[in-house]
Amino acid sequence: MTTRTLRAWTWLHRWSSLVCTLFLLLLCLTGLPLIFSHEIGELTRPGLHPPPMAADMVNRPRATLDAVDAAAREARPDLVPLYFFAEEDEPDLWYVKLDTRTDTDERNAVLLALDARTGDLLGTPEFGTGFMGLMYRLHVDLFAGLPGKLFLGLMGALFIIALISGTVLYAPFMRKLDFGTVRRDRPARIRWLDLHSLLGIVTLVWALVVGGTGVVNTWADLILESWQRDQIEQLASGNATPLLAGELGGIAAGKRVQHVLERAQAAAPHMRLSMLAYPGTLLGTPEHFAVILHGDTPFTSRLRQSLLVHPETGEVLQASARPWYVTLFQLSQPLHFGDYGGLPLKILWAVLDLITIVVLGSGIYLWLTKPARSKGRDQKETSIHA
Amino acid sequence: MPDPWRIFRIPMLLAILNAVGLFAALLADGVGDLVSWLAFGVVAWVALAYRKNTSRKPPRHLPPQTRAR
Repeated sequence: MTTRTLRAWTWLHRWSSLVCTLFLLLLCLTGLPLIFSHEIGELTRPGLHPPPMAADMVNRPRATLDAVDAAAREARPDLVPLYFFAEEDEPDLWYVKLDTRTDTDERNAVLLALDARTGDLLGTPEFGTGFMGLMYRLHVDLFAGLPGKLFLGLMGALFIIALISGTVLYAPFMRKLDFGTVRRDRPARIRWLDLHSLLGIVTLVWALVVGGTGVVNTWADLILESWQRDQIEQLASGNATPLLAGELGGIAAGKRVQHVLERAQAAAPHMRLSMLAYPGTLLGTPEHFAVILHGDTPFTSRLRQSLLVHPETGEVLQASARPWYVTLFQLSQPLHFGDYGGLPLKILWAVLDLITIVVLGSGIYLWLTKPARSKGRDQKETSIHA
Repeated sequence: MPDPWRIFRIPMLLAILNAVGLFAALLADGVGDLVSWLAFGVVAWVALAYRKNTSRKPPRHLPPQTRAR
């Protein structure tokens, strides 16, 4: 590597890092509790588990979705239901999101938790408030909505440039050093320089993937809206694929929502329900419910497919196969959150996050203690990461 | 010109371990989870505990003033 290219990479590493470091520190710090948000939620919202059933109740048929729908409307008569959510590890729990209309921006939406077996109201989980809500907003959009998300995405892109340029600089830096060298007998700056490059190179691929998927996640709204437009266009132009033909009549009274779910499950028997969206919501169409299903293996469970079900006829349509950018987005979520390998993986995620904080912090330290600019040849080695 | 193989062979091994840790648990439950924990366990151990002995210290019998560099 010539001195000229070395200087160019050094410049790129210095400035891409400096611009994003403070935001990256914020993202690492706020991300730390978010890794454990499920566990923290369990501790702080213990009342939302369905209670054990009395022996004489166990064999009763499960409540229909219409009974759950009616219970939710009864609890909040001023609101209408928008979405039903199912959680994989809580099969006996429904979360129902309600708002004043189906086409609101959901800023004031209310979430209810209901017992899926009986339709009993269990409570109103508080999401997006308190400490975890603060961590979430600081991590996701800096309280600035879409512009905030896109800004953090830009910082993430700079972080990736810093990682790549840092890796390029690793080669000349390690020219005379063995892997893992931390020169403890040299001044503090050299020690931290060694540690900065060691910790950076060891966690490089993890940081690239978590950074890159974080950037993709900042485009969530844009990706979902674009997919939505695709689906509506295909429906309008008659290009949707019918999976089950409609039939008029025959829907028992009080089984409208249940019927929608059963039709979707009949059309896609090997998939599990993740979400049901009412007509008129962002995910449905003005006439159709959307039933969002996911696969039943660890990999396919991350990939969601949307079926549109007409509540009167029971016709099931698949508007479009999932486009590649939606697949990319859906796989970006677990790879960013680290929530797919049990508690040990989350703990390792937290350890790697803390190591990244040390890399970022030592980077700032190295810049602050940068020796005065010198053209001398023997300054090269120490100025690489400065 | 530095020797890229000497410099990058261990980082490359660690990059593969990182990738295995990221994808094993995503592709399979059970064994996959275990493989991920082991892979990231090694990565975390290298980052936190593995250090090459610095060989810059001169032998002990030299007088202290020569140890400065």
